[in-house]
Amino acid sequence: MNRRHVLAIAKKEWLHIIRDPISIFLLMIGPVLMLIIISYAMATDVENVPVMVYDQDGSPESDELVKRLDRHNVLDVITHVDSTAEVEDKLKRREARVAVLIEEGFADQLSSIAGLQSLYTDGPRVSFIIDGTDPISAETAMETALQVSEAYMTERLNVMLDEQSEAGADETLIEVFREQLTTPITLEIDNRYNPDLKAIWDLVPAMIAVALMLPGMSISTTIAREHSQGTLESLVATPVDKEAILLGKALPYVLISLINVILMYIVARVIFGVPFRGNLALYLALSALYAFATLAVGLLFSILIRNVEAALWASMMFFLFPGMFLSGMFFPVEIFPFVIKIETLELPATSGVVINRGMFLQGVSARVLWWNILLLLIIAVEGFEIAVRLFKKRIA
Amino acid sequence: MIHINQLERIFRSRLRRRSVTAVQDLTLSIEPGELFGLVGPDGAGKTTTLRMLAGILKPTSGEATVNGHDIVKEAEAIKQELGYMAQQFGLYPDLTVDENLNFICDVFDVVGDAREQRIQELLDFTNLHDFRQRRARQLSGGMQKKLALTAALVHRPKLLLLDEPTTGVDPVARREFWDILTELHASGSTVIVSTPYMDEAERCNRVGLMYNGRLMVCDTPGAVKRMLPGAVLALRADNLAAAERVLKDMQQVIDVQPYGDVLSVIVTDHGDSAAIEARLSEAGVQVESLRPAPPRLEEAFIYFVRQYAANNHRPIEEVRA
Repeated sequence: MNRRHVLAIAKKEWLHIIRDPISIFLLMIGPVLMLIIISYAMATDVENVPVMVYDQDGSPESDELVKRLDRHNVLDVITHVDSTAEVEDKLKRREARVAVLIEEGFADQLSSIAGLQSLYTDGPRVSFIIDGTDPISAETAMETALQVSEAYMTERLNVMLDEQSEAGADETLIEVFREQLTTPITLEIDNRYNPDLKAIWDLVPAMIAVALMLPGMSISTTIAREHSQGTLESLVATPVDKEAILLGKALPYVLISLINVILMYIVARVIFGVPFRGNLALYLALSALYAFATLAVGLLFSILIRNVEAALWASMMFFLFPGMFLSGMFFPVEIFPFVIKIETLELPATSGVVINRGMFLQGVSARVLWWNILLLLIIAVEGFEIAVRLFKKRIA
Repeated sequence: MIHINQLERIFRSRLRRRSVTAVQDLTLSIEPGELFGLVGPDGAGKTTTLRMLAGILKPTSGEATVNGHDIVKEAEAIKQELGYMAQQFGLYPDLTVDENLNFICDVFDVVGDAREQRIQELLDFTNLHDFRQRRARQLSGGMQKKLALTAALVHRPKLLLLDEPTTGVDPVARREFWDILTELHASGSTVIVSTPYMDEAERCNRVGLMYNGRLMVCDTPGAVKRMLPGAVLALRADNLAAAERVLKDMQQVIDVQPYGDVLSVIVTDHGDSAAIEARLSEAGVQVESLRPAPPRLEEAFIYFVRQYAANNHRPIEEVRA
């Protein structure tokens, strides 16, 4: 391979990119924008889910429960309603996502032994309706509502039993109830990397890997563009070799990918406050490898499909959608069926997500990541080799 | 320089199960130093032929060598020594003239002082000096063609293949372009140029007339014109359409071709002009003038195409023999 030829192609590709305002904007700012927007949208922890209360009991106890629910930052009691019809209506209009239904006798159940007995035999006089259309916030809201209510009811019942015991009630009976009234179990979670379970810490590094596929998508139209522009015919009639054409086309995109990595690294640290615990030099080297792997696949698409739109669609189907849903960014790869698991191996994004998370949150070394580094090397080298083999310096 | 033997190219459309024979049974030799014109209408097979010679299109069958290199097995060696100018503008529209030329110089390994010298020389030659910093997109059609020619010349190729280099160019630029080609020819380069224009074909030392993928006739322009049987009479009359209808039925008229307000009548003998005039006035056509004219390449070409179609597409020589 002639170095001058590679550089000549790289230089002209670079000029194509920087002379087209739209492509330079999309390539330089696109990935960073994607990182910011999607991270903000997906990882905002659930807060202030609107709650309505249908309180038929009207007791100090029911008031206290509502107050406690409202005090929790996941929930926000916005309104009180007076009928089940109104509950249904407000749920449908999505004015409130959670309804707290307190029936008459709620306070009674908490303030006497007989009430406590009825709690177990007839069931509690408080229930919830939750709008499940948005499962993530629904689940959080549901857990929060249950936790707060159980805690309050347990607390209130324990106070009641104390009072009954002082008033001289049968101690053995009280003990039986106390036993039954086991407080909700709290689990100690030993979470080392993301102690507050901040979704954003997990999402941002993964998102960097996914956003870095944009240059790969962009290069997938490069041959198609020369084809439709009419310059491919003249290019293949020159003595420049195939390797030089393809490598030269990839180089400016590797550079752009690295600029993107640096920008996204800054955004991750400064805007999202994600810690970086790995070695920065190693991270940049692995990012270049990852970029080259995605570009090799992009080049392969470019050679196979000589139509700009079709090449872009094909690369979107390969990069963007599997990159988001199969790479482990949202769903762990472990939950996929075996066939899909095998499939994810050939996605550069899968390894990119592992490497980015490892470098940011865990600060791991290259030795820990060897399997993903190997996968990326195979994709990069084999992808490029197949691209060279399939690329013919001919037209038609 | 170039030897072509029974070259054939068929394009198959896999989807529609149709195939088009773009070039067939092409046998031809071109010697060093020739300015060879490949002439024919759109779809004649000129571009396909040039692409095969440039090593960027595989023939379906047959063989050819360029500078002794096989066009299939040694395509890359051919590209090294060839200046190829595609029909479509092959330089990058978003790059300047200088950037385009530097790119081509890199690719052909024209480096160091030799590069700037060569670029200067070529820009003098093609008069593009004032446009070095201009983007190729902003050049006029004629200047783009000249730039493409410049790019094809940077490495002093032994052979130039130019595919319709003047299509879509204004007459002045066309003349300039041909002056450059004539100069190249005079300096000893071998040039093969395809063109649909007969006036350009006249400037070649040899022409090959292509039609429907076949080479109908191949000789010097003078010889091709002499192959036109009989003589040509130029007719001016008040009603050319009526005249054409009448003349076509006359036995001594071989072919009638309209050219604007003149009708070229190809007859078996000059002496027939009296009979023709008589027949026209009999049909009520007022003859303004009817005089012998030298045969033109265009008349020969159209005559050959008609003959060729009438003779089931057998090459002209074959029919005559």
